[in-house]
Amino acid sequence: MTARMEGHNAIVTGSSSGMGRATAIRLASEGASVCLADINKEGNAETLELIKQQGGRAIAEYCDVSDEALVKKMTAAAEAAFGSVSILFNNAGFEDGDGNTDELDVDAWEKVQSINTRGVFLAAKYALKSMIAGGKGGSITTTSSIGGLIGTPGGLHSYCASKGAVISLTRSWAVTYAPHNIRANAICPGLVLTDMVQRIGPEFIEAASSMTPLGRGAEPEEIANLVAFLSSEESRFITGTIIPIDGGYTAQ
Amino acid sequence: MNQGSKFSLDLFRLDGQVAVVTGSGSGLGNVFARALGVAGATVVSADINLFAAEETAEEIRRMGGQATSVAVDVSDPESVKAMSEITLNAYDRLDILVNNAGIASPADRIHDMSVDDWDRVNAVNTRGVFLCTNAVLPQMMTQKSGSIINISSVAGLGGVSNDLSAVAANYSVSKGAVATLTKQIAVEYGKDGIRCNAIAPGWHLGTQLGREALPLSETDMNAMIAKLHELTPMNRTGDPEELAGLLVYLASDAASFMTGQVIAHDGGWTAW
Repeated sequence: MTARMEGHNAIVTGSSSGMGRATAIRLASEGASVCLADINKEGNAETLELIKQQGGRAIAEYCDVSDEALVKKMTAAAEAAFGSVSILFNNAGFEDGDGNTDELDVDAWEKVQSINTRGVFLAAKYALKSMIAGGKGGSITTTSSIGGLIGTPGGLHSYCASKGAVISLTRSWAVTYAPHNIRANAICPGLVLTDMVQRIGPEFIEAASSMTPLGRGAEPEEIANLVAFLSSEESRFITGTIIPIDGGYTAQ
Repeated sequence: MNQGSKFSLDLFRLDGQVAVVTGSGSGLGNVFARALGVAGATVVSADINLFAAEETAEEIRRMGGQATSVAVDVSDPESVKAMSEITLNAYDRLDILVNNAGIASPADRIHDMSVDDWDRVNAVNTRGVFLCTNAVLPQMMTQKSGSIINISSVAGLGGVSNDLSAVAANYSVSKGAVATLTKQIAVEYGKDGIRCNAIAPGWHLGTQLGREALPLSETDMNAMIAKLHELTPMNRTGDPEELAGLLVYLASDAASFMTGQVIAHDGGWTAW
């Protein structure tokens, strides 16, 4: 029962904290071999240690997903360690110094896009090559956001645009790579109590919770459950879906 | 490994929970009832055909699970009330409702459709979901927990050509209504600890749904299946058994932050 992912090789980007860490631990706990890819070496080493403590298989790779050479190197390391990639959790994301369009500096726009859009494209590019070469299909789950679905006042214009872009990419992957039995889905988390959100502050978390039908934010582990399902054989007919996991926020 | 971890697949277990599945006597309902039974829930197998409902319950018991059967016409308020009362008298709780009972009519185009066909399909597919939900919500509110899973359809997400048999406006509109009702339930009852989501299946063969409308000849049926494959990115139809994982995920605590969603299970049908 616990070996749902036995024989699967996963790459998780943004694995040093939050949803990436929770998902990496979850996939490893179910038997997958996991390549942890993150720019934060310390956090990534902690995730690796947490997996090893549970007896899981993983390697940690330094990776800036906006840098093609590093993504290529990271993917090669995953293949060398475990064989061809069958699962990608395309999760690395960034939000800082973003703002409203009329005052948004182009460099701030580009910084977010380079990680959240180009990085998602690059991680998928090399994972797809490996999945196609492996010939056993695969599953890509990309972290979008409810910000990719709805208008959000108060800044984050580049962030929301990037999260919309990856929804579109997900649909393209789903219909393009279905003949290779490679599935692609996106998740759109609402309020998740990650470090990134905690940094914004308690007032934001309180306000966002009160606007959520379930009345609270999610723990990263609750998101990991969905990613594990979408990465597993149990979801083998699900592709091209964009799934909000937001406590009902976008159902309103 | 991983004993005692909070990431255990135990999250997907439903031991000690009571689940009502409507339309459990055949097709997807049978799959859902068995999946919940295997996951540990006590299943109330409810169908308009009591014999079929009992067959499903017997299947679950043979696998070592717990199940009983009850006859229900989901379009009839008294019948639905009785189903809920029988469940609560027997088990004193109700944790999961799968609103699966549904019918289709011959796939007439709108200008040819009889009012009777319109009303008949909506009485089961739309009013039935409302009535069953209406009947179980008070108990779930008392428990401050519950998971309702409605069965919508990709036909409820967009227009589908009548050339593909079994889909007509009465059916697609009823499934669109179910999708909207799902969101309404989620928003109204989120603060009561009740989650509500829908599954929108694409094309799954081997069910009884729409059998009145399916092509009669094997040649025509094969042509339709070939067309369905061509229109699906994964180039195949779904096997009803493939829906079990999604249903159990949504029913269980693994989906504790998921509510108000309509999730397509369609091999990419709606992605292009």
